[in-house]
Amino acid sequence: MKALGIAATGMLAQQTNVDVIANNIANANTTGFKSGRAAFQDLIYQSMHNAGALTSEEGTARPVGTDVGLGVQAAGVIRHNTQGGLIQTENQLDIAIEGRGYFVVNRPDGSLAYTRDGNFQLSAEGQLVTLNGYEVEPAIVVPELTKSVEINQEGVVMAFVENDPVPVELGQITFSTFLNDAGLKPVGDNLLEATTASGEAVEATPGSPGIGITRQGYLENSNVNIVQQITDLISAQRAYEMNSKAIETADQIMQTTNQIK
Amino acid sequence: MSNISNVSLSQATALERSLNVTAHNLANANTAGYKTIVPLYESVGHEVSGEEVSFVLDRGTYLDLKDGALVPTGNPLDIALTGEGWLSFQLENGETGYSRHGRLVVDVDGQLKTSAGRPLLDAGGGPVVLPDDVGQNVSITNGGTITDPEGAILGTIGVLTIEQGARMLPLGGGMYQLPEDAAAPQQSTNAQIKQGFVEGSNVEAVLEMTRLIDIQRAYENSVKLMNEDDNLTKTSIQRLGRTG
Repeated sequence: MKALGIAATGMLAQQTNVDVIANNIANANTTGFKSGRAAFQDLIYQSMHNAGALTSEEGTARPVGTDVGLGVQAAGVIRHNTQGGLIQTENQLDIAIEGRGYFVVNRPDGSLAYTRDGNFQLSAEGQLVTLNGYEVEPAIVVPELTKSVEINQEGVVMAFVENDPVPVELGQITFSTFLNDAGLKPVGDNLLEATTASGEAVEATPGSPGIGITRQGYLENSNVNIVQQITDLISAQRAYEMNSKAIETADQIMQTTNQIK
Repeated sequence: MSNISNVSLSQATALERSLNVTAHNLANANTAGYKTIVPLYESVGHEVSGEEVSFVLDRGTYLDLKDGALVPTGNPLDIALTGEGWLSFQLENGETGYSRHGRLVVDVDGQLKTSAGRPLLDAGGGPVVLPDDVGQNVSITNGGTITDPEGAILGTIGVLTIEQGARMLPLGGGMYQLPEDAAAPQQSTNAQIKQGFVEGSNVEAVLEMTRLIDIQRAYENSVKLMNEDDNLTKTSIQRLGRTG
């Protein structure tokens, strides 16, 4: 009775599906979060009878074979890298990326991570850091007695210090882009890591052709579509139930078999 | 065993196999591009001492190729086909596999692949490669032409039709293979690509659930028949034994 195992793979796959949906819903308001979707694939097939096998000496052949599949598996979680909505915060150090690109973050262990979360703060030394205190790369240091910071669409950061009407240029924020955004590995804290699947990071200047721009005073909301997630959740639950019915049927059939004698 | 028991046994065996097929369909009720497998039965008759006896044989399975529902995803690299047509992919052994599963990703070299890493083939049978600076900012037309944001053509996705009645062999992973004796697939004329959509599984849950009920009840019937036959033999032995 393979049906038991087949239906179990279906239930497992739907569990993964619900896990992914739950993570999406939990992060519906996480800055820069990209929603994921579990992708499924049918498992291998066992051919009980092969199509094309001869059925007579005259050369007639079976037009169909008996292919019994062994269920389903989760093939991966694909992240949707569509633009999230921009939310105005009026905080001068909040930066949203509109278009392609990632901010580069220098982690304490010296490795680089990438993020779409532009919720930046200043460290005790005046340097631009993420909410976890990780330095933004390239380093931008805001001098003391700065009245306001202006960031243009090309990522150039300017500071108005004291009463000087001429701004001081502090540096330019650069982005990294990847050929395969979906290959970046999420490591939590809104950070992503480069992998062999994503390819090497390519440095890009905001505003250059095909690259996104920086928007000061805005944050990029998650791109989770709540209505879609809820409908996916419903269909995942029903699919789970259907698989459990298949298990129930297999169980009852075996029970019936036991009544033969 | 008498004929009655043998006939019931043939039914029970066929039903068990068809339960496996139905469980597999239900397990794939949410698998993009999945095509329902339908079991076929046949009666095999022969004459035993002047009596016609028909056994049940599960003759085979076939694919129900009707379109699955389109599910919008908004992902530029998700493509769904409507109408009669197949996407072609290169399999690990170098052969061509056919699929309706259009959830694509780009690899490090810019090549379009399935999430399992099988390269998508273009209209000429070669790989589809997106240049570095374009990334995923591509538009895909109904006919499969891929263009960058400036409108430059980057390639054409191959959409193929397979001759009517060809036996598609399921390989798993959403892939199907054509048997060697089938005619070479032709460019499709009526299939259309929809970008930003995925073709859902075409499993009809209600149908599969009723099939589960059918299978269970038919199985119970066949077991009941076996028991009746057994009782009949038992009773005859008792009665005949008494007279003798």
